[in-house]
Amino acid sequence: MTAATCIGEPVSWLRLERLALADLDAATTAAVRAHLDACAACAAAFARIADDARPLPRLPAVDAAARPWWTRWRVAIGGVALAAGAAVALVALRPAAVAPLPPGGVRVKGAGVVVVRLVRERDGAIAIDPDDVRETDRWKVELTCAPDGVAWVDVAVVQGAEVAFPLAAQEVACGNAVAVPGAFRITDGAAEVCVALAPRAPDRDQLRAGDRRGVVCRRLATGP
Amino acid sequence: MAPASEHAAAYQRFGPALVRKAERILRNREDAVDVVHALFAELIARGAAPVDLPYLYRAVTNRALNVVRDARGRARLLERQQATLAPAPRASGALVVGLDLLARLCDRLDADHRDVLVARYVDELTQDEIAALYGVSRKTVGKRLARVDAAAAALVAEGA
Repeated sequence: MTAATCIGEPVSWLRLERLALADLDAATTAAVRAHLDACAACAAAFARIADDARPLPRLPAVDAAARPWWTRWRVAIGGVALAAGAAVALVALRPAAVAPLPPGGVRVKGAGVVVVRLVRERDGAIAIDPDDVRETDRWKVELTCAPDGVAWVDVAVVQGAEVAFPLAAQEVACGNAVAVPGAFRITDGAAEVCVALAPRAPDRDQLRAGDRRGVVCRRLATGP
Repeated sequence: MAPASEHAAAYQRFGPALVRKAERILRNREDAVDVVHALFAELIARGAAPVDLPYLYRAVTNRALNVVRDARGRARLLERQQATLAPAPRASGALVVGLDLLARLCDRLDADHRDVLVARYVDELTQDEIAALYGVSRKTVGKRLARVDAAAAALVAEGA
């Protein structure tokens, strides 16, 4: 914690960050440095930045060789994703007016058939659509649907009468095993994770009321 | 469309600063990294034009506050918050915006006022910097800040 009080107007964190990045003009740099020389509080704040050298996970779209864990599972489930994609394609090619949905799939206007996968990371191990949950697990949702489609996604965690929404509802562009941005944990044991898909922001009251139209749910028992 | 390599370069350059900023709001590094990573993944997917640190600051504020505003996300954050990621304010007498107060203020303020709240009391921007960052007048910033202060005072009074 920075315990000291600034001698005047504190140098903002944005300005300190830009100083660290050499992103300020010469005059501003000189003024900020002069302030830091005289102000222990702001100097300590700047030291926090300088001392914080932890690396970030790499961006998967740029570096496929060293992905963070939440993108590595794309490789692990490649076969599953391809199968899901093939299922979507097969459904699309069927001549029947209303083709049967694949497991974990729903039909969404503007996206066609969307297949949902629930992905769990436990102690570094990835599991697709697992059956149980521990508090230390990390969860993500993946979608597979035909390119050029778009669907709104909302995730609900149902535990008894309580329905919680760990991620913001968001619009996701279709593709093969597209990871919905954000990860979440599930506390308090057994739960049902429901993924609502719709052409617009899903109605949370519908989910709270137990209406499962356009929703894919998976029950999770309390893990060992 | 901007090539992904430009965003990758921006991610490497500005990412740590943005994670530190998100940490000051969310009070844990894991969620902060998620927010920043998701932001850049979206920029790449959209082929958005290259962006500067002030733009990214605003974007991270929005995304981090979305997590705070979500009831489930809020409960998780309160449970996992790490006090060491929240530096004490350096300005004498400044409002101390802990995660709980921030969450409750988010319920009472609209987006413009939430932005000012974070900019002033979490990022410790001056009023001039806030005006430049959000493209509004210093007078507007002052009005919004007064509204934020009033909401905070009301909350504190209710809790007393």
